[in-house]
Amino acid sequence: MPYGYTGKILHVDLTTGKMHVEQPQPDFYRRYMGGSAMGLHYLLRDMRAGTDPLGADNVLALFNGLLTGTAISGQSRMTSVAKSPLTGCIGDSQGGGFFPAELKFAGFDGIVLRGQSPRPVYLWIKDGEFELRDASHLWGRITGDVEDALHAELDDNRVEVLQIGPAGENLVRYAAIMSMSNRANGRTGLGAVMGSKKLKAIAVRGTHKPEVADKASLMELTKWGAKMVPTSDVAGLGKYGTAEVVSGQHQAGGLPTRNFTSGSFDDWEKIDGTTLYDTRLKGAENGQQDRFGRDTCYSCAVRCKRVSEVAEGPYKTDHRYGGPEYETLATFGSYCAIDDLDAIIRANALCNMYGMDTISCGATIAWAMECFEKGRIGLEDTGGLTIRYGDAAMMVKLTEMIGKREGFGALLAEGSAQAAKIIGRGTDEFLITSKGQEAPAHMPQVKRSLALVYAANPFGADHQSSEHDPSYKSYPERMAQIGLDKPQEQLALNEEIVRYAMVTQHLYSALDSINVCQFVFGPAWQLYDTVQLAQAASAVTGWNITVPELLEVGERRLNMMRAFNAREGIGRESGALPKKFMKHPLGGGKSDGYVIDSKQFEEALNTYYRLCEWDSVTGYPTPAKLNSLGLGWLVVNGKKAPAKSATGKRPARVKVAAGRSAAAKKIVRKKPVVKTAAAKKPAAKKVVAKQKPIARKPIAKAKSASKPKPAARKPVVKAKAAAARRPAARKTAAKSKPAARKR
Amino acid sequence: MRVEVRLHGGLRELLPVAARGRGELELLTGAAVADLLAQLGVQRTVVVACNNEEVPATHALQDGDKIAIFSAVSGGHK
Ligand code: SF4
Repeated sequence: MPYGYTGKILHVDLTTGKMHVEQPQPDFYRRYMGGSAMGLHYLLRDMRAGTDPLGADNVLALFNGLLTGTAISGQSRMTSVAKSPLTGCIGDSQGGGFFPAELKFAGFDGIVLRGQSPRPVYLWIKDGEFELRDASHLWGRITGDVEDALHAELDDNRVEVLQIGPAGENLVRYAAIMSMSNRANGRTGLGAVMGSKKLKAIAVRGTHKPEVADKASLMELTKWGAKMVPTSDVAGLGKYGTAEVVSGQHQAGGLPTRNFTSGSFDDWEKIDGTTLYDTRLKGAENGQQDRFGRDTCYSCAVRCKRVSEVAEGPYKTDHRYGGPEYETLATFGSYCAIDDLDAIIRANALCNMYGMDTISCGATIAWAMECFEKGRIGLEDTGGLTIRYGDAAMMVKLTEMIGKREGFGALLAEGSAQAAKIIGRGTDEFLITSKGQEAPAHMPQVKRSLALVYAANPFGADHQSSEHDPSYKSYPERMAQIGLDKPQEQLALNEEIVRYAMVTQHLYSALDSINVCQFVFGPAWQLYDTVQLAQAASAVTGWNITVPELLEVGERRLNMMRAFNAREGIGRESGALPKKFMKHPLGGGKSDGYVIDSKQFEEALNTYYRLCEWDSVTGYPTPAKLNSLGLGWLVVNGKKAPAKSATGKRPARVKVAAGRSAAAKKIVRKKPVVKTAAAKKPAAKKVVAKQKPIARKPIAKAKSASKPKPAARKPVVKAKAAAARRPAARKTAAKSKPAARKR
Repeated sequence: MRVEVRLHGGLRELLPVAARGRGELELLTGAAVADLLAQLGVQRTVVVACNNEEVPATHALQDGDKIAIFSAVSGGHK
């Protein structure tokens, strides 16, 4: 087992209740390093093309990372991957908090979930032991209640709970996987995948710290980071949260307003991070918000998370549901022309209670507002609701209706792209989506490299998949570490900007595989630079990890995702940008008149595919590229690819869709490279029952979350009772002693 | 000459906490934006607006100018 890892992956079949532990070989760890790439290995190996994202055959893989559980800032991250019910493409999402570190302490690098349970269950993991338990009493309950119930049931407040809320149960297509009731693996709807499996939660408790090869070097980097936080470029992030950027985005004309009609929001100050800090963070009334109004992830010195509360009024909100990030302030705020901070805090909390992605939720509501304003939908569509820009009460109401799949909320729960298909009437003109996923609050009209990344990213529009344009000029020394030394003027979309997009995409992709926080590690403004990341990774593992190796790990992950999509027949054609970006110049503010030139964009996209060495027509990864990245097992000779299986049986191979190049027709499953020594270990207790297919909810029929049903339950595994509920300043690495472990 | 300054986002930290990013600064006649930034101790890449118009670091300041300073938005913040 390599240093830094536990060397164990838990496999759970929810249909049969069978579980086993796999112990992969060291080369498996070196090739993927963790997180997203590691999960993708199982999806590509074990899933067929055409799998129903909400069916039993979808594989949901959750992996922490190489640095997870050590003392350095920004390491407690977990990636989930599965086929996305929102996009039909590969789904991928990262989240932080304390769960990822706790999972490692409990003895696992990841969990691979297959099948569908016949009834609600939760997975309980404690120091290497695991079992499935009945969760009928938790089904229908909001996140905070479930967390409390599990702490009581397991008799330990230090148990970390990863869970879905009612939105995941209701198969809202952008449901999130939540932890701490306020951290989200938010994007691409993987909470609905967990819901379709009837897996309500995963509760973990562990006491074993990972072994580190070079403790002294890692400690030196850890201390350096903690010392630098107050004077570094992440100081503002720590104090004001991601919401710090509202002012700069507005000034740059890049704050999406009225569903991306403008990049400038007149009332931006009311939703700015400094306003949030001054008025709504816990402790703000007596200047104690740095103490009570900021939260962190396991052992992170930045402490960027918000703890906000609304004490009274219609938007009264409990601080346990955290506080809005920049994206949330934008999607529920400026996207919808809403300047009511309390309403945004409430909408954010509702998303955290019901378990939904705030980006897709707010953006879908903004799309509905524009459709209503422009007369493309009316009262007959909305069930009598008047949905206009600026109506904060309506925005909050719709958020709850979506979580419950009630009334018009049931349609919006499908996501804006699917809803536009159902309604028709030209409502697709107002979509701000790529691959069916709603775009985050960064505007490609203002940061042009994002046009490429939004279009080409395998899991849809994403703002955390590359470094944004202004950094190229602002951080020349750090950029030079990854071979970027020709900064370009703002709004350029030339070959060098394409290269910038691609190289930083490779690095960000590596960050999601090593699985570190992209606010702490990165190529520009982050606390640690890329060389330091390589040093930290080397110190933990004892391997000599270089910057080029990191970039290759990132490139490998992107090619795996592309290969996944190619099997589904999804390639370059799926990367169309929203019509509004090309056809409707922005109005007002610094970006007045900005629009993306479609010809220039297509040329840049051609360059991108050429630089990535992918088929320029289909966008599929070529066999040569896959082979060069050690992914030869994804290539077969011939012109066939696995196709959809209606029966669920292994399908006969059929021809791929017309129009693909020969180079791209060869992606099928093959035996995995990595051999595993599966040390099977039966669970202490398993829930075993025959599989019963889960009925998918029809769009029109909404089901509200059922009422909580408290039930006294006895935990099978006795855990030590923790003293009290978590303190405001959460546990840090220093608090618990590393347990002596046998290697 | 005196100019009014408004520091946004994390830049607020360059002024005393109670000021919440607002203040007045005394500068030598003929001072440019770069001098103002140096006096404030700004080390990050920023965007400066003078009387609501974005200006470069070489822009010469006048008595009574209203200056707003923003962090240049870089990487994606979730
Ligand atoms: S920077 Fe923020 S999100 Fe990242 S690990 Fe630290 S506290 Fe968590």
